[in-house]
Amino acid sequence: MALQMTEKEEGSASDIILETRNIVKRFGGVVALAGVSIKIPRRWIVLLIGPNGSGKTTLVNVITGFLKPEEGKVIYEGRDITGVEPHIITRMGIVRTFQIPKPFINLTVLENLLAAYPPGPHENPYKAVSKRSWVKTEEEAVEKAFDILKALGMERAWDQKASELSGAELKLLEVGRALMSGAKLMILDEPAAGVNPTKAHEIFSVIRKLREERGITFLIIEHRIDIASQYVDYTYALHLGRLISQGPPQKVLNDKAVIESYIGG
Amino acid sequence: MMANFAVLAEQILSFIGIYYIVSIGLNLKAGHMGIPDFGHAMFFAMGGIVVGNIVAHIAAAVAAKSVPGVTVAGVIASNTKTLSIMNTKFFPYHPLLDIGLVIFALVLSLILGGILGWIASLPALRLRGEFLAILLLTVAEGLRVIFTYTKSLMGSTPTVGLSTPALFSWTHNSGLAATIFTIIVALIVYVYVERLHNSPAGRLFRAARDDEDAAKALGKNVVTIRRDAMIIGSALAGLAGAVYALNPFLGGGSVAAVSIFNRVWWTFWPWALIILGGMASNRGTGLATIIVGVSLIWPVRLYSFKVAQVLHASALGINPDQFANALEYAFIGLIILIVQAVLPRGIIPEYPSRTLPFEKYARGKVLPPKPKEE
Ligand SMILES: Nc1ncnc2c1ncn2[C@@H]1O[C@H](COP(=O)(O)OP(=O)(O)OP(=O)(O)O)[C@@H](O)[C@H]1O
Ligand SMILES: [Mg+2]
Repeated sequence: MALQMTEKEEGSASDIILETRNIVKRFGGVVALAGVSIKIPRRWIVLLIGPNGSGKTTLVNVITGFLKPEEGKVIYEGRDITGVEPHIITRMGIVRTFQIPKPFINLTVLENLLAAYPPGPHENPYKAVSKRSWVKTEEEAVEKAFDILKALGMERAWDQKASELSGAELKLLEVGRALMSGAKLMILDEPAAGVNPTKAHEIFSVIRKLREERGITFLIIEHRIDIASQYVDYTYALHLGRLISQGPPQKVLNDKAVIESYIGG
Repeated sequence: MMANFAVLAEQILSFIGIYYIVSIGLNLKAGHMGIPDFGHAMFFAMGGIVVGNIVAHIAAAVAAKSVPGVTVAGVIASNTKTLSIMNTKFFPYHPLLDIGLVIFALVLSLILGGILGWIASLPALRLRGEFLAILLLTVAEGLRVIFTYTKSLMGSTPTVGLSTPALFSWTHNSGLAATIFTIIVALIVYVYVERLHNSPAGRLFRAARDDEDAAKALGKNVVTIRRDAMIIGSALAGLAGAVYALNPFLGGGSVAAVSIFNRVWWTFWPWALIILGGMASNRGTGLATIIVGVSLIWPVRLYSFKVAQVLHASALGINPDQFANALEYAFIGLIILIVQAVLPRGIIPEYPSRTLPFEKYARGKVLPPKPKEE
């Protein structure tokens, strides 16, 4: 059975922002991805699920240029971006977070967000002594950063060093930085892992709001399917590097193959 | 007695000034950017060569027209004689030219230091950690050997090197003038690095140092960020080299490969100072430089010879030069050990990049407004 979007789904999703075609990625003998093809329609919130080691993070690494696939292509807005350097891909409008948080550990929470503002001439070190070369951009960045901190309920920690944060706060910081980046497509690798359920719902509410207000597209990896499925439009399920199910969240969650993949490990 | 005290104070201030400039260049690379540059001395050396060689040639070309005994070729061929004629019969009487040459020397040493920094950044983009540290150390040592034995660069006698032009002789108090000059340059450099630190670019250095992958994922080009830190930090080292060569208390009126490429003086001491001060802390480096400059570097550099004599080091088969060097190594090691044990993050730990008055925004945005008083 070929897994494909139904015609009805395809119809409402004519504008595909990102597509992977038959991605194969091996690590020595391990086949982490065995020909994965997904489509992400613009403005959709797409969930990617699968048991541990099924290849979810590897797929994100391939899409964002951190890994080069052995086979297959990544198409973003009609352009082949396979093997393009990560920072270039981000500048095209894709941002990703890390499953294991990668904070700027010696920087404060606020600095972490400010450093995530999109790159530009305000970061030119040769003009840095002239405050005029950066002050306007920086003011915008600070405004935005405090808004995001507030939305994530982290505003009181703004001047704390990242090294002093808890695991859950670090996950929020990852999300916050992605929000700062102003990307069109955000790929969040387990944004709510280790976060309490209330906070998890808050995170997904922010995601919904961003989609509604700014038309941002999301690809979200999440193990807490119970919470995530309430917020997403579409779900892909991976198992051992292969897609085993796709469709609306309820359909995928009740798919026998998906249930078995989780039970069987 | 008064005069003696003044000279001592000038010497100490000169040491503090030069060590701040050279250390803060390393701090930008190693502290802010995390590049383990153990070849810092080679960038410093560029400034010494600018003054001792390039500026001397330019001055000789001008002086040759009016001062007998001065030729351009003489700068290398009969260096001591040519420079001593210029230093007594030419520079004291051409203040404007002298000032112009000082400015030229500073600018050119910044440029040459920066260019060498850019070249050194090429391996720094691929290599990390100890591999890079060893590579840069080796390159610096290689350059030292090449410069030592290249007559057209450092003169015919390696240990003597080149006499430096006395560009402050027109003030009739070269020592005082050079000291004030050194301190002014150090202060300007302090203001510069603080402004850089408190800018988005300065923050980005620290961010990319803490996590390269995260920086890449946010669209930052880590390659150019590292390159820029290498260029700016090395340019500052070049600047320090020029100031050193222009200041008679520091260079002692000459530059030689043994002094300007000296890895203990211009690589290891700066490392000790930035570790003591606090990595990526411009203020900490300043405080460390003042404390250590007064208490260790200056006395050791000037008096270790005498101490060696008093202790009859030569009777034990240790020559005074080696004794001085060993003493400096010992102090560097001691400082690093003490810091590790007592102050792992330095005297003034790294502080945030304050680009704007964040508290104001925080008050307006984050915390509820203060309740009105009845
Ligand atoms: N850098 C790597 N080197 C070697 N093997 C790897 C590497 N990254 C992933 N793998 C392997 O590839 C497979 C897929 O891993 P991946 O991290 O993509 O899984 P995942 O679906 O994200 O799992 P989890 O839910 O635990 O995060 C696993 O077998 C893993 O061990
Ligand atoms: Mg994963």
